Amino acid sequence: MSQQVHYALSGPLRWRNLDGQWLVHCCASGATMVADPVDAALLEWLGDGPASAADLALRLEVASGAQMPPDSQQGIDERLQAWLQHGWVDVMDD
Amino acid sequence: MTEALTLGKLRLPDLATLLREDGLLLRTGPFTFRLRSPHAVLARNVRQLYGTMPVLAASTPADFDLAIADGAPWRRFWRRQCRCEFDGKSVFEPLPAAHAYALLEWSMNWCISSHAHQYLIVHAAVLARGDHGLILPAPPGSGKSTLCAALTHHGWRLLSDELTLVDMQDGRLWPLCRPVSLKNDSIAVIRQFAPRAVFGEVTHDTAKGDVVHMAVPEEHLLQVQRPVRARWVVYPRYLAGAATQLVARQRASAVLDLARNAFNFHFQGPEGFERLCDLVEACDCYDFSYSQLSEAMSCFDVLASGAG
Repeated sequence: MSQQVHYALSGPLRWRNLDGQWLVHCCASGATMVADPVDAALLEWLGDGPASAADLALRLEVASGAQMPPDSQQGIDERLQAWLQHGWVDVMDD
Repeated sequence: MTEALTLGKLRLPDLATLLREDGLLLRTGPFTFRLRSPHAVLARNVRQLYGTMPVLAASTPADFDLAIADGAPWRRFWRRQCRCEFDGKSVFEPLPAAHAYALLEWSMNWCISSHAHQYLIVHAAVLARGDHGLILPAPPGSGKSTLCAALTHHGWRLLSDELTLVDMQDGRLWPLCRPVSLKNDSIAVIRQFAPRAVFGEVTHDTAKGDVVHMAVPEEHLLQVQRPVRARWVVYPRYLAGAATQLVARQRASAVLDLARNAFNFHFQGPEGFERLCDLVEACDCYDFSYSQLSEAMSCFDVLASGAG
């Protein structure tokens, strides 16, 4: 069921690139992290509007042009759950 | 020209009376404290450790009003206690009266880190060579204060042992010039390393063990109005028997660690994030492990010589 949940960014993001690594800061929660390429892509797409793990998995598959492993949606959902805990995203449904 | 009256030139009974009655005004870096206390140990240590500070006019406005008062009245006769009052209100749990001076120093840190939001405040020591700042963030037990005290007596200027004040306007690091807090084994290590250093009285059996404060050298105090730009961020770690080693660290990870060690990073919002990134971007960042102070000093000499 959790795949149907839509997530939205909790606030604007600030990005800085230091030595080739992306640092991202959430203006709403104050959370800061080093974003790997998948984090960066997912956050960028969430900036376009609320999305579910299924939506994001599909976008990732299209963008990478690669067949995604069957558990990719679950992996994305786990990231979103962790971001929810740290104030990066809010749940839009329910 | 009349020589300025300093706290060290006041007679101890006069200083104790000031502390008991009107309050003693003490300026440390950009902050002025009005201190009150009936505890004699506090008067003795203030005179010893802040002796070169000027006696300020009674009309000087204070940023913080702090008292290290007595505990409950009946405690004056049995196991006397001390407690911290900020703006007339009790904060923290009372401690044994013998801990009064340590409580004062901890309370002063708390006042600054909880209220001075014109700065991004990082829990880190900060020193300088010329105008190049060296930030030493580290958790307790990492040897940060020992290293900081040794560097203070090895050609580095002490800005602060505990609180790095990053000016939110321009990113410069401001000196605080407060005594260095040394604990347990590091007390003897620094007494031996810097025999000319001035120390206060040892406070025994605190929550952190035995604690003593080392005075800021007078020539450093004279430069209290001279901020610096950060040039290095070094994460020290004392490891018994370890070889001296300086290993480059990714700047992004340094930003995350500094943010974690900051008292008011969340309060500063996105500007704090940008300020911290700007600061780290201008720095070389390292992890540093050591066991021998003399080798550590040589390593920091080499670091400074490459500052340009």
